[in-house]
Amino acid sequence: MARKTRITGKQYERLTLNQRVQHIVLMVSFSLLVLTGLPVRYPYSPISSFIINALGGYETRGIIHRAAAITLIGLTFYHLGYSAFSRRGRAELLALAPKKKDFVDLFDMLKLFFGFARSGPKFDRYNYIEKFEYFAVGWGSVVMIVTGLMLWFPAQALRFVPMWILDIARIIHSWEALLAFLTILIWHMYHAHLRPGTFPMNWVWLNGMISEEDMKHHHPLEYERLKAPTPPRPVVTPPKEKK
Amino acid sequence: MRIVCSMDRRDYTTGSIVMTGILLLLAIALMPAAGSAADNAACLMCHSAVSLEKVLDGKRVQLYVNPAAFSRSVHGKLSCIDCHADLKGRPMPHKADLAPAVCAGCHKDNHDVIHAALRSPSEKPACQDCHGSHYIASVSHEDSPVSSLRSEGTCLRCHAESEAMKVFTRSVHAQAKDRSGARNASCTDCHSAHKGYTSTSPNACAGCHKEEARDFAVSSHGHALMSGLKAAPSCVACHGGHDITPPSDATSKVFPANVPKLCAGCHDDPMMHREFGLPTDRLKTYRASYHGIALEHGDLDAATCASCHGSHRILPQSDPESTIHKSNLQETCGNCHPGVGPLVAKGAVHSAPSPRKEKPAYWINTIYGFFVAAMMLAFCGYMALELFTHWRLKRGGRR
Repeated sequence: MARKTRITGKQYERLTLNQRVQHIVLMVSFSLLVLTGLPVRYPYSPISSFIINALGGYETRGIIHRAAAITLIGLTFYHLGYSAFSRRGRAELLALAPKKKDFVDLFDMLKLFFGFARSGPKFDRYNYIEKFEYFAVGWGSVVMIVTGLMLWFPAQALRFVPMWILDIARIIHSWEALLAFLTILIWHMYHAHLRPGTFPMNWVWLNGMISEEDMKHHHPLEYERLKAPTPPRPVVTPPKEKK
Repeated sequence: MRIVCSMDRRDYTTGSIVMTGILLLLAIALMPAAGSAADNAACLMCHSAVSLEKVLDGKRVQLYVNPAAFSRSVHGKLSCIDCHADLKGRPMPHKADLAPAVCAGCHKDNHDVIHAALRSPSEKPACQDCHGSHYIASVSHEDSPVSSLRSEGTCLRCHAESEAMKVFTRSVHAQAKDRSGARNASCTDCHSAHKGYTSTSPNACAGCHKEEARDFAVSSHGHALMSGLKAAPSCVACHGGHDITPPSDATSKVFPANVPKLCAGCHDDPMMHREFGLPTDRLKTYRASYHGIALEHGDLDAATCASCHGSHRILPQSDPESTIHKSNLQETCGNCHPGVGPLVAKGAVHSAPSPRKEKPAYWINTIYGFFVAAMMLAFCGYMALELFTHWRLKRGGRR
């Protein structure tokens, strides 16, 4: 079954241009952070030396890392504002909020995997994998920004926290970086590129569109809601008459 | 001269005695000069002839003495027979061969330990071989063949083949000090003339590097060295000897990028650990630190061992004057991290978390590692199950 996204056929907008630009800024800054950061986690590997030299030396590596960090921090604040103050952002945040159904969905999916069910759960606009990824990025960004700023400004950080906390900040920054990198490399790349029906990739990050077919298949609850007639406006109860 | 006996005029008496003494000394000092001039005149009757020479072992040896140059030399006031002692009381003109001139008559203490120890008489240099003979200049005068300016050439006459001399020409000491062409330091500046290599660092260096030598003397290294510990480092252990280069030179052992390896030579050595209890994980923990990583990849601003521990004045952490004493860490770290808070002292520097020390760091590190591994296993497991299910359903669908 060929379900490759084509521009032909009915399309639904899934990501606005604004959201796609946010994703691209995140992608670029994240990649630069990984590229300039992982060599510090594995400093004595020949690959690390190669990367650092290719980037123009250790100082340049640091400048790129911090420039990308500033970009990510800026994006984080923009996204917080977007989620809090724009109509679209608020709607997305509500759609992404974890619900009990997400855990039930995961359980149902595992039942399917192990052959205890004939079909999997039906998803709404965002399934539990997408929600998990979204909040993982959010949580990861907060952890990386907080620990990263401590390492960037150690003298200032040491006015508030002792040296051993700074050592722990470095441990956390290092592990969280590896966790984020591997999650993107294994988990996100699988879902965006390699998953059956997705190869070579899910184009939504570029054109923002999802086909009707994909909509029915992957987000049936959202599709049904969109197809459903607009619910009647609630009847306004007339104000009580004054006695 | 008045003789005053009253006690209140004692000052006059003392003054008179001193004056008399000075006059007497002057007279004694001038006497040989007056005498030598006369003696030397007799010798110079022949030896002022430029063509005077003899043949010794098939070589022509000049016997001419330039009277003006001789009188300008440090020995200009001496008579010929003071050195050519075997001429004393002998009739002039003397017979052809004289014994070698004798310096030890006056220079009793300047016994050349090193050169005198040479076995072969043909190799053994005499005083004259280095200092010259009739026209000896003061050793501090730049005309002297053993002066800082010229000693290198003098020593090279015998030591040209030595490896030390070859590397010396590239050293910082061999660089020109000024336009005079003088080296920053030449052979005799470090090798005290008559004691040769027995005078080594730090004393050989202290003549010029006074401040460093003072700091070194109070340091742990200095104490160990002066207490006779052979394993303790002296100046040359870290800076090199004849091949010494400035710390800014990438080939110097104390060039920032080379410092950790240099210090680790002793401070990461199992023997030093066994004998003196030096900890063995200093290099490992430094290389794991951000400072170590930055330095490894060429960031020369990164802190090396010396940035925190100092260089010449290294003191143990327990010493309140040590740069790494807890009470001084704020200042030491502040050299590179201006405005660093006092909390910098609350934690380990050569951090090596273990279940026994730095427990929070150890457990967070361990648990985080397991967490990351568990997450990846979960991801891969989920992906495998999804792919398997996809394949199973597709196969089922075909049937």
